[in-house]
This record gives sequence, structure tokens and C-alpha cells, in this order.
Amino acid sequence: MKNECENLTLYFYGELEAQQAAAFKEHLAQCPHCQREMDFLQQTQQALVPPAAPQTLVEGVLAGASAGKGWWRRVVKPVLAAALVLGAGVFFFLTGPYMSRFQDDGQELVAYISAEADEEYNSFVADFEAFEERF
Amino acid sequence: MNGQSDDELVVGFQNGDEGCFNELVYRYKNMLYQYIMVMVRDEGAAGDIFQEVFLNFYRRIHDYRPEGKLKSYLFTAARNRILNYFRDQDKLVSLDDTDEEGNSYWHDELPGNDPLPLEGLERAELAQRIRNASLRLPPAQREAIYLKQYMTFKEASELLNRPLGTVLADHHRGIHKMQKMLQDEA
Repeated sequence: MKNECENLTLYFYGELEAQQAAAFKEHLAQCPHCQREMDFLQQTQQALVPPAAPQTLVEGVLAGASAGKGWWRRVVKPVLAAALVLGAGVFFFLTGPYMSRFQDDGQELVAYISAEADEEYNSFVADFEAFEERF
Repeated sequence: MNGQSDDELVVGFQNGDEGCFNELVYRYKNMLYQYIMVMVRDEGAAGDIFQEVFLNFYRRIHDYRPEGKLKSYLFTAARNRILNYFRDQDKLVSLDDTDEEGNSYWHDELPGNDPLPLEGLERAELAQRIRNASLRLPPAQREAIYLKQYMTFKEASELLNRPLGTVLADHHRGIHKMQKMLQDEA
């Protein structure tokens, strides 16, 4: 009989297989403990029905979504598109000579970039050392 | 009430129908707000998390694949933010606090201002005591009981990434603890 009582919660929520549910229904008719539990589950379910979310929050969501969409479509998208076109133009303008060098000699380009990177690194190290000396 | 499924609304929204997003918000707003509120027990934080969940969903709608799991998606998003809230605030201790009284959020929810008949008053009072008791449960039991209001045990088990038996046990223990609290009050 105790095993049948363990099915109470799943029975209450309609999550038992049909056969088990039928067996529990018979058990329920004879078990005052399960009847009381069923009553309490019913009261709990009713007590915890979600109340309405504050309308100001909901309006905030809808306004935020609408504003986000307007901002994205009106400003961000065109600016990004323009930046991409401009960026591509600048890239090809600046790298054009290097690209032709790359076609001539890829290794030279690698060496060129490496040297530039080294120069930057050395400059940074020098600045850093100067900073350390000062403080 | 819109008869469209969640997925139909998502697809509608992905195709540019803003009304579908609004419908989804109205469909899930109450249960999501209640869940967030009972877990964080702070109106300001609950409001922030509530809005973040929906606005993030709005921003990422085109990445979302409609596979019949929108409810899980929204509750998982809310749950992750609730966990982050407690991590950020270092409030894990208060999450485990079981002595806190119910808060004003619930007292605003009794329907209307008209005098209720005596039976209605008794029912309303009992409902209030049940809600207050639920807020004093340990988080795992509280979460199991509230999630059960919105989904099946199987769905809750998947959402919490815990075995179904564990979620059932938490629910069962929570219900019994609430009964005990009400008996002790009487």
C-alpha cells in the first residue's frame, strides 16, 4: 500500500502511465492519507498560480525591443555597412603595394611585417624600461 | 488567446512580425516573473533579470532554432541570470536562508478591492499562508515546486540537469515542509 502512496504526486499532475493511474485511483478511494495530500496539492497549485507580472516591466520589454530594433536598423546597420565599405577600400589602398610585393616574393612580405612588429615591440620595451627607471 | 504554437510565433517573428514577439512575451511573462521573483526575492533584481531574458531573446531571435523548446530556453536563460546574480552579489548564503518571511510582492496580488465572502477570505488567507511558506523553503525545494507549476517533472528535470527522481523528491519534501509550517502556525 505504501508503494501506491508514492505515486500520489505524479498522479495528481497527470504524469502517471494509464495503467498506474487506474491502480492509484482505486488506492486513493481507500486511503485517507492520500486524500488529504491530494487536497493540499490542489490548494498549493491554486495558491501558486502566477500573478500578473508588473505591467511597467512588460512595457519596458516591449519598448526596449522596439527601441533596439529602431536603433539597429536606423543607425548601427548603415554605419556598419559604410564602415565595411570604407575599411575595405582603405585596406586595398594601403595593402595594394604590399600585395604586389607578396606576389613577387611572399617571404619578403613576411620579413617586412615581422620587422615592423619587432620595431613596435622594441619601441614598447624601450618605453617600458624608461617607465620603470622613472618610477 | 493566440492559438499559434511557440515555434510558429518564433518563425513569424523571425520573418519580421513584431506582434509574434509581443505574443510570446505575454505568453510567458507571468510565470517567468513569478519564478525569478521567488528565487531572488528582490523586486529590483527580478525586474532586471526579467527584462534581460526577454531582450536577450529578442536580440538573438535569429540564432534561435524553433525545436519546441522555447519554454526551456527562457527558463534556462532566467536561471543562469539568477545564478549570476547570486554569484555577483555573493549572496549564496541568503539563497540558503530559510527563515525569511514572505514579502510584499504577494500581498499585492489578492484580486480586486471588493469585500470577499467569508469562504473566499478563508481561501485567500490559506493561499497567502501557502505562498509565504513556499518562500521559506530551501532553494532546491522552492524551485522544484514553482517549476512544477509551469512544466512537467521531466521538463523540470532536464532544465535543472538533475535526475527526475531528485526533482520529485525535492518537490515532495517541499510540500511536506510547507504542510508542517502551516500546522505549526495553527
